Amino acid sequence: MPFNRACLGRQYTAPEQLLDQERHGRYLTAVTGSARPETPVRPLACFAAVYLLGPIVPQLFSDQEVGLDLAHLLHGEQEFWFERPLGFGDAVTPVGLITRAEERRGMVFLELRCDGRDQAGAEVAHSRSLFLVRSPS
Amino acid sequence: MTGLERLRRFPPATETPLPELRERLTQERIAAYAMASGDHNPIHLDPDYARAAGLPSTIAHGLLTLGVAAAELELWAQGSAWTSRVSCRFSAPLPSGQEVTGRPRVLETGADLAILEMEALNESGQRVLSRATLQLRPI
Repeated sequence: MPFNRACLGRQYTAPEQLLDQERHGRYLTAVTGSARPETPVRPLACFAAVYLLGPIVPQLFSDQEVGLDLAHLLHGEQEFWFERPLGFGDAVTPVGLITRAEERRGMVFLELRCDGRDQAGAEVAHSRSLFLVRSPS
Repeated sequence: MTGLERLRRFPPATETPLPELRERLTQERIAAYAMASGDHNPIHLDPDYARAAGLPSTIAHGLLTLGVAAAELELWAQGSAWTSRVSCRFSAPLPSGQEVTGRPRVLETGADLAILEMEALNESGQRVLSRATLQLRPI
């Protein structure tokens, strides 16, 4: 299935994500390599990979209208930024948007922007991901 | 002394007691990250699939490598600062089982901002994270 450059502007939505300590604990164990007895004061910034990207990226990767070759896909760049400190108990509703879709010299460049709104409807968390797909040769 | 107070005591580019990065990303940890994040791309989990894709072995998720590098700094600074931005370029894949190392440094400090740079290298000395920065703001 070839990559479809017309996927630019394609949008993905997901239900509200609770920033709960249990899910964060599993994430923390994975990134620190051990179960920590103490709970951090607030969720780690890269936990956004779970609540902001987690519900969106699988939709992108399985989207037949985009046609990404997962076997040759690499994560090129990542940025998370926040409007305020998020705490446990906050809930974020993510929306994803393809903001770049191009092919150059046989390499696919796809940029995904994700924004998360809190319960009050304010944008609080953002993500920019650049994915690259290498030529299979 | 809190993390941000420690940062403020040192001008940029001065050696500070920031925690060094030294973590081995085993296949077990990669699998744990896949479970925690929901990213089950088989290039991270299935050696045969990874080799067929032209990789030497399974590789760590880029976001795991970034998360590992950022976590120690955030935990070090927590209580006095929150992270307003974290960013990086994934320069090279990190094969499973390799140790990732790095020495963070202070790029900039101010009244309401500290920017740390997080270098991360694989066992060959190749940079796996480049332009990796973490912005801290006081609470």
